[in-house]
Amino acid sequence: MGFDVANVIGEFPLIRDGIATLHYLDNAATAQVPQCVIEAMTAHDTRSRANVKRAVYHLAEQATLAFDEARAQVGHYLGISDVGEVIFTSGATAGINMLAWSFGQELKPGDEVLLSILEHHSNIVPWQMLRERTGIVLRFLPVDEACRLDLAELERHIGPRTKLVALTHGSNVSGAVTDVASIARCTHEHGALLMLDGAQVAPHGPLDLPSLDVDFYVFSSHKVYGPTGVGVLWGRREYMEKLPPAFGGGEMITSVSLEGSLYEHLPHRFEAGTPPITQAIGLSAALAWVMRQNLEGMQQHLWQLTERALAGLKSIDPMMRRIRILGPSPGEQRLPLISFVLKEAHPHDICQVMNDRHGVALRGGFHCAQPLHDFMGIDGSTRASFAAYNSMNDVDAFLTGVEDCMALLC
Amino acid sequence: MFEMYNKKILALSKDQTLAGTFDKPDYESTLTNPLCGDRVRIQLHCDGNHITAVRYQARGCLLCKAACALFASNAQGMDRNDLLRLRLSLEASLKAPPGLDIPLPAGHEIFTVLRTHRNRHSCVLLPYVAAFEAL
Repeated sequence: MGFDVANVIGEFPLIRDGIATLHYLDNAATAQVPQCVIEAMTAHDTRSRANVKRAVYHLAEQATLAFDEARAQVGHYLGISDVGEVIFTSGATAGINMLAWSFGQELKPGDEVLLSILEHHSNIVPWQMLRERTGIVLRFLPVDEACRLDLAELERHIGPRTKLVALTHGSNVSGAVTDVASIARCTHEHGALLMLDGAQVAPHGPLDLPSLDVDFYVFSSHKVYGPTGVGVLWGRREYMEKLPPAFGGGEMITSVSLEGSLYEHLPHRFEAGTPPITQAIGLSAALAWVMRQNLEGMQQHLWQLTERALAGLKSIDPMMRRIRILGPSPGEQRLPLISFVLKEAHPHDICQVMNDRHGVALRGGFHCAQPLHDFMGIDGSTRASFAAYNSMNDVDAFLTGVEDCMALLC
Repeated sequence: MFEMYNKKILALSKDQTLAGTFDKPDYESTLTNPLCGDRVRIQLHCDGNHITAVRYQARGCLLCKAACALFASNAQGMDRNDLLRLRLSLEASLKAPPGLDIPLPAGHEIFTVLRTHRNRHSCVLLPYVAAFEAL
């Protein structure tokens, strides 16, 4: 059964009606939102907006119900049954920071956290900050020449002091998808826990966290066709219940006196203050939208876009002397994104030409992955990333733009 | 070409007159823009507080290279206060809201086109920030 991209485009107002010539290929940074998400948020703000969980008037009950249903929808998307394990955050970065703070309270100097060179800054900096506070040791799993995690090195990087392995589920630069099974097995055999940064994988279909055998998972709404300002930290109850809360304030307490406070149970324990209610409802609508799609068809569509782009780049530069494509080779598993280097042209200049002359929106720079770029010996890269509403027309515009860049900038 | 990469900016970006290094600079600073990867290294010779010569190395976009060349060609005689004033003046002019015309510093009119491209301001400001930090 095919994937009707024209139908999908019709559901995204900015893509359908927005800028006249726009080929939006920066979806790994932020995806666009379908009309149903906008309507869900507007409906809430116009008909059921109130604070949640405490007040007893009808509007508050409606808001609380909508918020609880949003949490349940997230649980459904993640394949988990205990929705108390779903913590709303402001995004994946906030979730990792929260986990680093809370989990870090349990760590002692010399305890180890294993990261990788492939990580986004959001999964490096919080742990560096923890290292500065507590004296833990950070270790970094290397990558291979295709910018995939080098799993052959895994056993050498996990030891008796490893408490947590925190890795990307899929790279926002190379597009490499992590082999979770082997990592989970090795991590747990050593008595450590596993966190995955799912920011780039979550947009591409519902997950099955129990079968992934992970212990913590984060993702952001704005990459999953949802609003900004909300994300999810999921953690197994057996671990989350023992962690101290990262933020204190209203909603996460059962009682407060001048001497001290008693904390709520999951999930409220980790949701201090008024949560992102409208945004959570928007995220719920976005996840529901994804699950309504022909998922196999959508993934096949994204694969075809990516492969066409890869083939096109090879066609432009058959010997690949001027274009360097990062990540797995064509035909190998990768997320629907391509980061590349055009020799003698800076990513910012490429992006400017792409936008000003071709209406193609790309991302240029380190993509918040400077250690990876340092490892590859490059001063940044240019990235095209695809979403459900992208078409072959977008890919062709991208390829035409690359040829133009080579003529103008090199 | 097109508006942002006009002939003047392109010519400046290719101007290598003051590109390079000193064997023994009096002051030096290297700065990277974490968002885009632009990296500049500014080296200064000074007589007391005043710049007498500049050399730079720029690994970055065309705008960054053009800004380095422009800065280096104008920096002789400046002291730290002059650098700060120039940088703040350039920044204020670039970031001025529509309708508020704050003139660009003399000699920097080629960057007028950047007023509507806020995300590129840091590219041209990088050498000025680096030079100030060097002193």
